[in-house]
Amino acid sequence: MDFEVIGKNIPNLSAPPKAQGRSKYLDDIKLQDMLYCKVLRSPYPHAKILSIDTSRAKSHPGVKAVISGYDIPPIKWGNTHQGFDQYTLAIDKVRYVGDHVAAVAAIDEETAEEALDLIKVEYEPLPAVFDPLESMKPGASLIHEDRPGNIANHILKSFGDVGRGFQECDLIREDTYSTVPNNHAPMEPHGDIALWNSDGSLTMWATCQSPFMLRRGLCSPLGLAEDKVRIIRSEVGGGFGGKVETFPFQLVSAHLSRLTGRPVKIILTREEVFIGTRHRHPTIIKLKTGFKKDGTLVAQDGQYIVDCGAHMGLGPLMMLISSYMLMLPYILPHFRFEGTRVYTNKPVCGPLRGHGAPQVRFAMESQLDMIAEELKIDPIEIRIKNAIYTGYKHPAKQEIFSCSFKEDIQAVAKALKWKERKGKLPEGHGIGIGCSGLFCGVKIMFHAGGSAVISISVDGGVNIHSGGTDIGQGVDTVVAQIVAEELGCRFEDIHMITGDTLTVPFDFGTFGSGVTLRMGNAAMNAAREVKKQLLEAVAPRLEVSPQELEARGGKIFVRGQPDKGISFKEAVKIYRYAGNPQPIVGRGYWEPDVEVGVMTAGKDGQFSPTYAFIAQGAEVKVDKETGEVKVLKVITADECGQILNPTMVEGQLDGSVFGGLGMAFYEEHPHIDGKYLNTSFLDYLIPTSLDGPDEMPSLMIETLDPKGPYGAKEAGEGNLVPTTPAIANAIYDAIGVRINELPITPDKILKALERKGGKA
Amino acid sequence: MKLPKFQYIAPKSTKEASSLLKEHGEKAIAVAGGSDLLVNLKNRLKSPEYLIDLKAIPKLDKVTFSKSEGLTIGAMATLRDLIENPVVRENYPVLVQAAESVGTPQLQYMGTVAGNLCLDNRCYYYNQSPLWHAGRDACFKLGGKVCYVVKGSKVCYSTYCGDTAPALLALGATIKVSDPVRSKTMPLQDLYSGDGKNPNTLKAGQFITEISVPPPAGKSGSAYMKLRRRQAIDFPLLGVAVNIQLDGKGNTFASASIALTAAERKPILIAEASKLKGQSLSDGAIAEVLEAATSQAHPVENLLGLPPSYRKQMVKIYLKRTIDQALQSAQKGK
Repeated sequence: MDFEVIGKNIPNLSAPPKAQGRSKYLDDIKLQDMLYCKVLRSPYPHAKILSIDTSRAKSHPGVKAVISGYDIPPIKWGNTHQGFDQYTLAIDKVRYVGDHVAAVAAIDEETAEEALDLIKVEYEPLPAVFDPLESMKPGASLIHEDRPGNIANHILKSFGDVGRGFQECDLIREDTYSTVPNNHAPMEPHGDIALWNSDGSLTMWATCQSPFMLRRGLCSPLGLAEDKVRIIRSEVGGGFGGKVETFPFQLVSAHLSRLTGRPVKIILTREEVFIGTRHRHPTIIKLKTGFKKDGTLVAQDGQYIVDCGAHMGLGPLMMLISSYMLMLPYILPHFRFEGTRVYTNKPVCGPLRGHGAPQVRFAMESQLDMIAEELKIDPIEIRIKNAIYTGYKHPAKQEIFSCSFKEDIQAVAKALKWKERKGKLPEGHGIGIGCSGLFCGVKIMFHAGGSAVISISVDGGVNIHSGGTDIGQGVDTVVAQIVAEELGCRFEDIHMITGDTLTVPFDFGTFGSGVTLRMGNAAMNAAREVKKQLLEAVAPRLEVSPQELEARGGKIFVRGQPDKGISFKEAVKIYRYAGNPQPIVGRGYWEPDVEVGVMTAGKDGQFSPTYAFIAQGAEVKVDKETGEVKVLKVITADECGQILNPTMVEGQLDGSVFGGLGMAFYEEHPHIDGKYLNTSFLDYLIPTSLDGPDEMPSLMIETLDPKGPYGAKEAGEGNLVPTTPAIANAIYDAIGVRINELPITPDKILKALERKGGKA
Repeated sequence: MKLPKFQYIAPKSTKEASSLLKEHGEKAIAVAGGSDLLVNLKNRLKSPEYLIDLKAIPKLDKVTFSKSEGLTIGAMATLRDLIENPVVRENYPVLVQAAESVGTPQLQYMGTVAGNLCLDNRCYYYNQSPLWHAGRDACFKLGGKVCYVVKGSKVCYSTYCGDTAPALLALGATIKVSDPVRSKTMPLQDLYSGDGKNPNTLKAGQFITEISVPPPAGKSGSAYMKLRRRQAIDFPLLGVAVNIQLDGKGNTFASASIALTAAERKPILIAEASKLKGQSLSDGAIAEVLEAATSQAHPVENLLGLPPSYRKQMVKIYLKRTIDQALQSAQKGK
């Protein structure tokens, strides 16, 4: 279709202030009389708290308040209903290194830090468990007294008849894969400013992915009604899933503000981000998969052990996503998946791009290549043969409204010159492919939708009041594009009003690859209401019915007769002078038509309103003497629906490839007695621009999706998922070895080559 | 993390700086670029009462070269000053390659060459935050009585991880050390004690004022290669510097020197490299040196990124490749 605004490379609205250093990140916000908060954290992975003495800290000059878990109401809370397993500040015991023990509010950061040293805590160390398999064993030290066996939660998902399915198979492979924790590592660390107002309400300035989710999260631990909490989002310097949840530090700052009557700011240090926020879950995946000789996928059985760290967090969802992401993107008649999420005395895990998808797809896509080799079928062919397609009736009742997955695979094959090169490149040089499906706009609880109000100002300015959250990915710009297209107004006349729960309507924010769908559809629906009112007001003047009018490019005109029309601004004037109610307002709401039970309890049905499909190819060179891998190229074919802004899609793809490279090669958290050894950007290895591929072409495959605004789907999160297996498969093509335990490091490659023997 | 409180003094002469350092002894630390020291201060690994900044001392950042005298690098010359100096680029490729491999461009603009030579040893049991250290017995380097790396050891096994030291050792550099009484000149290798806890031999009141590198010989070539996980930011997990000279015809070695870093408690000058003198450029002659270097490398499990067994295995491969690169540049030379 021919669009005026959509599909154009309109620069990100937040780019100029960022480039000029004028964006207001949390650290840039300073309130009068503001205090600074620091949290005293546990140096032990598991210990009883025998006593806490805050008296010296309290009398330290400049200190305004000191609290421990014994100074605030002992309310247990959590980020999901399955896991109300934590206090804001530890009571009786600590469960991981970094656990919150006490907190100080002081006139400046230095004073607050000094005061932490004056708090005396007596601990009695308890036996600690760090390995989920150890943690599950009978007799293992119990982390939560009411969670026997240290089991956080468990899922079982199945359809078809796995036993019968395996009997029909000609080849069954069983392999085990493992993954390690990765951190979001946002450039901007987490933080907030809490202000407990004299009327008993709370205002919080926060860097977060969802102001409304945070508002809800703060309520029950603080004993406040939702309308007594106001969240004002600051510019967000990166989220990636790590700023979705409610954290103890936010509650701590609220309590300290309540006690002092002053605004209290907390910004985590990099070390605190690493130990005190969230990680991608480490997993052990036993995958048993059966195929027929002709390459038909028949049955799969997955056994999954997940290390969730010391608390439940938002994690239960993760195992369900893992199971759903094994159910896509291939036709699979028989499936069984059992997952157990286990507590350990380590930092807590939570959502990070893909939330469970990257782990299982690494396993499945690696294994698929091994099966293809045994069956002597080309990896591309076996994927195309089993690929899901539009309208496919999924045995678990998922509906596929738009899917050009086969085209994705073919596009990658073509770009890699697959036929000419697969298996034929010189030793040490290889190509590989990885694939995935991904949800677009999951619903994790009731009313997880988005709403928007659009009001038109007297001079024709278009004000979009939206609860959606731009966390740097550019959704504000994209939503403005959608509204400009829908209303036919000029892009530059649009004003985005977002981020303050008091002034914008409800939206559940940025998570689950759904912000464009939620925020975009809601704004589009609001724009339609505005447009209807405007066209009705203008129609008499142009002597046609409203249905005959078209709004486009800042003008409203008779369809097919662009000369017979008036400007958008004139139309607003006509509306006004006709004595119509002021201002022109439209409202829109959109909620995925998805059953909550599918997402939370694993029932059959649609767990995401629609799905995106991705194929990714990698080309690598491996130095067989050193085991070092150079990634030459990563090619992404992302079937992302209607592309709203190509440059932003490309930015998302590039970012995701780097995230995928991090997961494949670099990011992990070695520890000693539960103490992470790498809590700085020196030691936690994120790939730099020099470590990336020489080329990262993105082949955007447009498919119109009936659920997305203008047919758009997710573009970003999903592209991280196939990177790791694409690289693993390319390494196998290059040197004939597989590393099934992430990350893939030079020493592991050399060892594997040695094991392989002669050929090395 | 904020810096701890200290008194900041910026003396105007080397003599004054030396006197202050002498007067305050262990309570004072000299700072040049600060890129290593400030991180350690923030982590409370060191808590000096006085920070003696050398920045205000005039003319300490000079880099000069003459064909007869060679290269002189002032103590406050930054790594970037070397990298961008055309004369250094032409005559001492090993030094440029080593300086370019340090941290990031931002750190190269701040960090000095002399500071890089005085880089404190590293160990993942040591380079951690106060929270990490809390609840654990202090190791030797923190003033305690235990080494977590080499169990039962009586000394600290932290690793020297500077990049420019092996390059300057291979080039035969000397350093001029300021002292309240009399400045002295010594070979660079004498700077390193081999003691993980106190890795350099400078005494109270002493600091490097100048580094001197002999002029390049004809038909010489040099190179530095660094093992690390990423192409930027990382400290070396092994670093190899090679400086060789060929005879007139280019068929035999006229001289060779080789140094390693991140392989021991100090940078190591491989004495056996001198045996290459007079030998043909065959793999046989080189193989002996590779063996000697490997046997002198003792990486231990205290650096993140790659295990010691792998790092030791890489000595031969990296050294061979570095020699090849140095040979190529020597053969192109006059």
